Amino acid sequence: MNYDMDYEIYQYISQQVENYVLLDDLLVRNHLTYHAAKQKTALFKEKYNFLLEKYHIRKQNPVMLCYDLIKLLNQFPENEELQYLYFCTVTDTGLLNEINSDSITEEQAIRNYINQKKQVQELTEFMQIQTEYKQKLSQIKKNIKKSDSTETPDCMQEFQLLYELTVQHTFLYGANKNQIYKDNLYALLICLNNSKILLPLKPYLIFAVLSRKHGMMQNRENFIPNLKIVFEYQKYQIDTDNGKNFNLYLSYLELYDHLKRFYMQDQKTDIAFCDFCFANSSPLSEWFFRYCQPDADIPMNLKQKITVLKSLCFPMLYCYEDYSHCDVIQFESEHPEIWKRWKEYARPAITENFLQAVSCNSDLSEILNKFPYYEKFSSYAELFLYESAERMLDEKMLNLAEKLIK
Amino acid sequence: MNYKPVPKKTIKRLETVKLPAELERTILLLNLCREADDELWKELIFLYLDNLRILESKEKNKIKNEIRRRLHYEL
Repeated sequence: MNYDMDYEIYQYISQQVENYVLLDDLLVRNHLTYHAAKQKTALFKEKYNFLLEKYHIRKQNPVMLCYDLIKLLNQFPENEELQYLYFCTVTDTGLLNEINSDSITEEQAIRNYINQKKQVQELTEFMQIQTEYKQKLSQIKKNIKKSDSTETPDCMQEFQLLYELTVQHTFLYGANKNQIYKDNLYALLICLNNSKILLPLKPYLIFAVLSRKHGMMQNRENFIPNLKIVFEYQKYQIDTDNGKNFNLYLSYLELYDHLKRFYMQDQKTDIAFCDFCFANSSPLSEWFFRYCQPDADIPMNLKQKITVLKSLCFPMLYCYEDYSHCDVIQFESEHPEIWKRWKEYARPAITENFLQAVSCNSDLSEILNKFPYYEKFSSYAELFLYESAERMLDEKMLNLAEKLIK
Repeated sequence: MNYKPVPKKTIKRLETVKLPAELERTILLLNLCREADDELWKELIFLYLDNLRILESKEKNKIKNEIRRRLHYEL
């Protein structure tokens, strides 16, 4: 441990202690007595177990539970009780599925209950709002071609400011003093201001047209963007930085953030609705939460929201203590060739087989024998497979989120 | 006027310098404990504080006492 390491840990501890809430204060904040909290904790567990039984969901092990939930939610994504079970499962820190249940004290159970209850509620409300916006958006898409023009208001001042705002973004530098861009932007603004349907979505639509069609906006005279298309999902490569793409995404995000701020006081725009469109029409929001400082007000979709609120230990497929002797980081640096080989072998099919085996509590040695595990590193190989399986199960559960929005 | 002026730079990338693996692991372990096992979390905090070499023993005791008071933690 060097000086920096010590200093960082001390800083971290100080911050954590600063934010620590004593149980008594937590109870007061939640308007609960100790006795009432204890009862509610028990009821919370009871409800979870009752619903699991009602839908014949097996909770013998976490893989079984997740597989049953995935199957049922694929069949009945709108079932509110299944959605509740889903949110409870991903936010569980041990209270509901009794992870380390021997060591869990009454006070700890109450703490877990209070935190988890809030998270489940937050996710449920978030999902409901997302569902409302999705339905609203589908109506807009249906009516987008219908003419609903009103009288053309004077928007020269808005245009001038908007023009100044947009050309400061790196991907639009060529638009500076470009007459074609000016004309196209003005035409777009008139089109949006004239439409009762599209007006509330103005910040999102300007962002989407400029980020997706910036070439056309700068080079083609009288360019009329297809506004229906800008509601479609746009894929971006967010896993690797090729030296250009990440800078471009940063510039896109800043444009959206700036447009939001610019229109914040405009009562005709619906910023929350714009946020929904932004978060669900590309992986830019996911890119932001992966690679940027999370202090900007960038919206998230349900999958991202679950990622933020789910418990750190979900899904827990193995007992950490069984592998406490394994220093994975050291192993990886000492045996990079083995690590690379394992990565190549742990393709989805093998990881899936491993998950199936864990789900049935069957003997894992058959799969391990197909894996180049090297006798003396067998614990590391097992751990590697467990961690790959955890990531796969986590991804499967997170992908389910998209189905829940009706 | 309905339109708000906006600052130029509003989004910052995370530092590209990766945290040392040991520090990352320590923080993850503490976060996991904080999430699910309050008692273990407190025990670990005092264990790490004991191991810190940046503090003199007198100062360390003072800090430990203050943290103990804030966490209502009895050894």
